[in-house]
Amino acid sequence: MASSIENNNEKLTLKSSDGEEFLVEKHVALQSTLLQNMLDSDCSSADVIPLPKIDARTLALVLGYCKKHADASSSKQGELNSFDSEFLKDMDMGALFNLVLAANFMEIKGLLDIAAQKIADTIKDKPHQEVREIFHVENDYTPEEEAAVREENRWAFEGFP
Amino acid sequence: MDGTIEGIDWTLQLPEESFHQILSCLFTKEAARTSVLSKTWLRAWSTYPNLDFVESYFMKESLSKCSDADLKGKDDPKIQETREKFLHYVDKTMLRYQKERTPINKFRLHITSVYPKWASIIDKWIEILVQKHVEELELHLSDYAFLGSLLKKHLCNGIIKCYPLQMLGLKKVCINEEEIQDIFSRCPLIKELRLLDCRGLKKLQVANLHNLKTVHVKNIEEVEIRAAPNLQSFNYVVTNGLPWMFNIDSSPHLKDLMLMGLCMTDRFFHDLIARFPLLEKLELRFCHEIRRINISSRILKSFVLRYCLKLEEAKIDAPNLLSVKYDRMPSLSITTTTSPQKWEPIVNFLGAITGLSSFIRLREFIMSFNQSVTLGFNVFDWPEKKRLKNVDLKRMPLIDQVPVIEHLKLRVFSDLRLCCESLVDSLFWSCHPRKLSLVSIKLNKTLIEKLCEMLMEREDDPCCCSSSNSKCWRHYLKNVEIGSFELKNKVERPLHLKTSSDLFPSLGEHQGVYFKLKW
Repeated sequence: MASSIENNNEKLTLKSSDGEEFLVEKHVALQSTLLQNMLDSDCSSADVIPLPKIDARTLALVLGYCKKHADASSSKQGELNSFDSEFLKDMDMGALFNLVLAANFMEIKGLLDIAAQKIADTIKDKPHQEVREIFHVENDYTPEEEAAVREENRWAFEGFP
Repeated sequence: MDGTIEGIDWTLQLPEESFHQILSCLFTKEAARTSVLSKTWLRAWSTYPNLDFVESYFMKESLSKCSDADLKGKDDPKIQETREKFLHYVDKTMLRYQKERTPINKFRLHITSVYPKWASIIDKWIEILVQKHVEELELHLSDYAFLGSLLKKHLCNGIIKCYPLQMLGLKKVCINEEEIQDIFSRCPLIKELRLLDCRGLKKLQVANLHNLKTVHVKNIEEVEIRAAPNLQSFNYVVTNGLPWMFNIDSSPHLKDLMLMGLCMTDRFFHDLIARFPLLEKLELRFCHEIRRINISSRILKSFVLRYCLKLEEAKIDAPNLLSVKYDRMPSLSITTTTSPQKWEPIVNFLGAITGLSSFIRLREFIMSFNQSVTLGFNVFDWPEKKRLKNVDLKRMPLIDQVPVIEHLKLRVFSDLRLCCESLVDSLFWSCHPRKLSLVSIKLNKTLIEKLCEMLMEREDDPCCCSSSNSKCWRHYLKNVEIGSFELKNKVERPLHLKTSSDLFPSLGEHQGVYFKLKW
């Protein structure tokens, strides 16, 4: 049809790194500043938008978050807060890091905030070896180097086991 | 490293800004400690754009509790040595950021006192910060006579007419009216202004800062804010009965108003709040002249009334009110048209117990609320055992059922080494809280230890009260869960302890302790 009536249910297609396509309502996609900028520029919503850094599993999670936040009215802040804390509750660390990467790439500030907070909460007050194990951090220091970094920041280790 | 960690290092894929975001969720010391994890984390910490230099971070535990006044003791060689170490660390870091062209967005510096020889070095830091277009600048520097002129020199000089400063926080800094005016005229984008105890600043005039959202001022005699249409939050604190005056006529969108130490009449207060129809949060502390409050608002969500000594009555007609926090019961009568979700009465206990009747009053008071009440209980002093001998709580009659409340927030402000047990007995005689929490771990260490011992190591079938009809709380307590919570966001984490002595090693700074009690 040649009609140009604004359609609130306009949809766009996102494609994950592993080739899966997701049909997303426009108002949900607008939670992402990246997609918003693309739509504001000459990008047509008829095109498939490839997201080469985000796999299908992560993208599904991201879109679930966006949908909840796009659909909730601002008066339901309490409900959104409890959704946010449930959303990440039992997520494994690999998925959480993928989520940070995706939220960072797609510029979804709220999601990035809660995911970063979750990672920070995991680090808090844990011995380093434990944090390394949880995040799979490869310790690339020699013992001498590690001791030197610790010495440089000795003030921060005051009272820390 | 024995290389037992399996799988890919997830943190290697993160871009630097994501590391910085994670670091921003941590306290400075916690963030600094991540540098030991790996070289990637060290790089992230070394380029972190928010610099936070607080002298007390460097003080050993024994010194970190000292007040500002103690730390001023310039002559104490230990303090002086630590201070020098701290200043050298700041200087080294600042030079590195300059050399490596690392951006700085936020900068906070807190020093109680410095020798004049450091003046030129601090001058250099501020120059570096201004070159880097720091957006948030917070300086807490006592007795620093030239800082105002220094800030003026760097922020107002040069060919750039407009400096993009967003937040300016000055505490105990010497700055005069003219200097601060010059800074405002060069920094029109300021969103947040915190000016606390600034010597030389008696009058503050803010005009035409259209982005201004937050203003916190303390001990400034005259405050005038004009043409700040976006102002949302205003805090005004006056101590020691200093004169005060403020005028914020042109800010219709004010949401958050906190006034402390202002002796204002009922009339003044009601005229004032009538000008802010969108107020969501209202807090009055130490406003001793107010006697009667009568508020009607559909917007108001949170109302705090603390230490307003002459206040007799508060009538609140606010259907959307979520929480009310107040003290001075029962002399203060509070009535609301609809019950808020969260009542938070606070009892300040000064230690004068006249006998059993004190506790009966407390229990009756608690019973006057519904179960969802959160009761704050501040204990400033508690009588010793011998003075309590005619109040044997174990034998006190249980008048009827002990009221169950949702949450008891206990704060103790004196050393209760000898009377912890009697405090706990009295509290649990008066109410059975589903949750008991304590915030300051260091201050309340003895009490927390004793609580742990009393709650965790209690017997399943206590043999006390055997001859008595009414039994003490030990017979009613079914289950105890202990945990810690973050002071910042209240996130709770259960702790699984075998004995009470395992508790302290597992608690971090910035945490509190809670006990979940099943009765």
